[in-house]
Amino acid sequence: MAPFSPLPGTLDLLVLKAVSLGSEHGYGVLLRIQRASRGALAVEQGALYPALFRLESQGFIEAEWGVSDNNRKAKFYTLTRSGKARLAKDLGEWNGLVAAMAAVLNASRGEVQA
Amino acid sequence: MKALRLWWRALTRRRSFEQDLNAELDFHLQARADELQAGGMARTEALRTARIELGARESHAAECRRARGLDLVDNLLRDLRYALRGLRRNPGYSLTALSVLGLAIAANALLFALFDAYALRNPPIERPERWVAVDARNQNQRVIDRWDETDADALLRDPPAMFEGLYGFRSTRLSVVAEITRTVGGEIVTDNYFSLLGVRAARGRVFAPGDVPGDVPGVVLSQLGWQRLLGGTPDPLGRSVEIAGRRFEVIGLAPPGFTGLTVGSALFWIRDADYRLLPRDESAGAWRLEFDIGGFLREGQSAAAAAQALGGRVLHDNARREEFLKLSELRVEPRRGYLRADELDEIILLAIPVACAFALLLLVAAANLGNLVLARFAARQRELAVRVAVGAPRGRLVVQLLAECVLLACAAAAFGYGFAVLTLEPVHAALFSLMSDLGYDVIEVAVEPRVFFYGLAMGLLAALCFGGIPALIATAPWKRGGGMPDLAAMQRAGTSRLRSLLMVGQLAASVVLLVLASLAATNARRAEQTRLGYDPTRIVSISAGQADRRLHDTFAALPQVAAVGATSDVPLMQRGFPLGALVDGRTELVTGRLVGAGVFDVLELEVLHGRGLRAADTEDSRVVVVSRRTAERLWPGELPLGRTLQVPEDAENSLAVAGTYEVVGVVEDLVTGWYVDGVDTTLLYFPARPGHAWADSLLLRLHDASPATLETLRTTCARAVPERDCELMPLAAAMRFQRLPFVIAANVAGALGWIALGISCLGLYGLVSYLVLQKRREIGVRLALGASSARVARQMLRQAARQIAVGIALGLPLAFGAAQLARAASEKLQLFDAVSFVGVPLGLAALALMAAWLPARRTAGVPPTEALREE
Repeated sequence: MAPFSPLPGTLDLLVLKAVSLGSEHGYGVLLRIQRASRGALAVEQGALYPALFRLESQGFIEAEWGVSDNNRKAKFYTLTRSGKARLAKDLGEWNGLVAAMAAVLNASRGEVQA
Repeated sequence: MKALRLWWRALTRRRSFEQDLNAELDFHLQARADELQAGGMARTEALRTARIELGARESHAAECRRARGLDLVDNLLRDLRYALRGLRRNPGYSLTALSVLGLAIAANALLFALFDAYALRNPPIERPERWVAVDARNQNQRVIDRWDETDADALLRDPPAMFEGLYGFRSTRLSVVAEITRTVGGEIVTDNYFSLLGVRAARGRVFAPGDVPGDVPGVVLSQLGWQRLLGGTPDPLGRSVEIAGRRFEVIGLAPPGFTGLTVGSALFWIRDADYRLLPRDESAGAWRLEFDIGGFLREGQSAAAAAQALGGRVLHDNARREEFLKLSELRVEPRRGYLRADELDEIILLAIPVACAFALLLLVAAANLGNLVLARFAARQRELAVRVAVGAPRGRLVVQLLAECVLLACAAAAFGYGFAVLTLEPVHAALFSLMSDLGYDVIEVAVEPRVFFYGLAMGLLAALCFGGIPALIATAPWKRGGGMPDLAAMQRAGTSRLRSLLMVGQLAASVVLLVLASLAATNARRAEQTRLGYDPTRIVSISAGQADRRLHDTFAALPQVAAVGATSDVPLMQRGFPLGALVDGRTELVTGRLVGAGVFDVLELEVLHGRGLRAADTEDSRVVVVSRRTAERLWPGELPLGRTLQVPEDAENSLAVAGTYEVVGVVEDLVTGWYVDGVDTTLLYFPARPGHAWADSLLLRLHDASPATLETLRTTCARAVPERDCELMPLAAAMRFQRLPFVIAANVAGALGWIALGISCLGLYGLVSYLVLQKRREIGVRLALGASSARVARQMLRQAARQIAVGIALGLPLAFGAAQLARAASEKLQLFDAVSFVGVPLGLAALALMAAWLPARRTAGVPPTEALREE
């Protein structure tokens, strides 16, 4: 089965979550999302960097230059305090949405009759 | 906040931002290639695949820049660069637009620079943000901004804790004897004045609180005072200067740029304690409001609380005050610039109509530019259509069009600032030259950087108006998305009725201004043509207080003086006193003057009948001499010698005592009032001894009015009566004063009128050029069909000529109406003359036609084939 693209508007949430797992560079963020979804989600590589720049401008993540595992200069992103708060809020909203969607999609005839 | 910081860093360190962005994307490629290589792919192939997976790298980079907010700036810079290229490609348009806007901004910047120099620019003092003045309001809420000695003492004693301190000073004019003898402006200050203001001596020392006064009181000179009074001697300290008859020693020089706190430039400062020991001019009462009181609030203290604390000291004391000086409120108000509160009110009141005229000029310029810009945008339609085709939204188009206007505004603001820098000094000097001739020095002026920002704000505002509206019109076809614009509609918009209306309005405005300027100049010229009946260049007056005989005789003994006489009213400066005299039982309103016998000699009055006044005649002699016109009016057809007139007991304003006076002589008529009014309609000369309480001015006729002679007179006066103001007023200067309003009006209206005319001519030039360009093909066809080029040129001129004719036809009655308003000032003003109402409009029409004819002629001369081939 071909991997899914993330739903529109969910890229920021995915990136925040990936960064929340520990300081990571852009390519690493991409891999984290891929691995966590067991290959089911494929983020478009070009869309990732504008998202990182946007989140940095909004103050949710911070960037710092460091050295990668294979000894290359790389830019590492970390979640800021306001990023954590934002992640928690977005996560709550997402879970609510998923539960509501699931409830609707699994509804039986008996459940919707008054 | 964070976003702003990142944005600013990216903007200011753009190269490093781009390097980081590149490095990050490179790392991505390498990391991906590493992974692919680990899966068994060759390195080159792995890199190629990584690149393909990443996709359009440059577009991702652009997205990253947009995420950081850099695209706005990039676009703006691109637009500005493009606009600059566009302006350079069309030098004719650029120069026209620049001069139209630049001239209008320059005029406004100059006016603002003058206002700024007086009202906004602070003297060089410390912590001006906490500088305050102590004022009061009377019971009609009028500002009273100075205090008498009693109040000043009450206010200055132990200042309340809200103040760092309070100082007091009186602006004064005293006669000073040093290298030269003159009455000059200075300030009499409390001893904490300099220390509170934070003004330190450039040389020597200034007064300080707690100084022990020496035997010889000290004086501090300003730089101007040092130059004027001591001729700039290299060793001014310790020099002796005589002020109001007492010896002072120069203890220090004030720093350059510090000239006191009011518009009159101070040449010296003396301490108030020393001043109080000087002989005082008794004719000036002690109740006089002389003291300016000011100070500095402590940090964080409110002015209202400070006013509350001070108010109690003076408000209760209303019983001793004159009715209009009874106080209702004391205020502590922020002080700024060189003007006191009521002076500022007056200036603003005076400045509003002037500022309106200048603002109108800017409006005219902006409207004119609007036309020009609209034509230019119409010419860019094809370019705009291409931009829309590649996806530019309407907003971007508007910004692109506006970029050009903003560039123009910036250039015009720079031009205006440069103009103000170059002309402020000479204009200021010209405005106040008369004052400085009479020994009144005003502050030095300089153009502050804020004048540039004022000009820039004006320019940008105008740019938004003259560029914004045309930009909206020009981009309107794309409002509903897509579709080619209706070019015909564009051209209609470009040559709309509004456009001709604006042109007609401008021309009418220049007609009004130039006609008024010409009228003012005509009236100013009349000053030279008016025969006064005496020679003002050799007569000077001096306000001698209650002139004692001593001064009169001292002057009479000088060889330079041909004649001396005392008078109650100086010709050309005072009108004499009005008097309801009884003549043969009827009351006649006449003008009287108290004069000593010498005045007849001074004025070289021709005696027509009987005799003039003699030294033996006094106010008790009950004789009077009348002017020829007075005689004709009061006793028509007869010789009035021996006739009598009666000054009634209850005559108000009369300086002549009541009684019956016999006419002993008739003298020639003179012009002694406003020269515009011509010969005095009535003038009665009542005798007065020198030293008479009301005959308090001396008139002197000199053999020559050279500076040396004037200097001798001043020195003589300062020796005889050191406590008095010994400044001389030459009657020629009084005449210049009378002319001054006309000269200023002529210059200001003239300058504005010429600028308005210049703008109109440029506008006409642009209009006709545009018309000719639009009708190039039509012209080509007409020329090909055999029309003469002169005829085609005339055709092109027709529209411009109609506008010129309508503009003048509208302007002339407006100018005539505006001139009639001046009739209120005097019936005798010349408010109509051929030069102003025929010559000026004809000249103006010729200039405007010339401006329109130049482009018309140029293109009509083009060979028809060329015009046809262009399409």
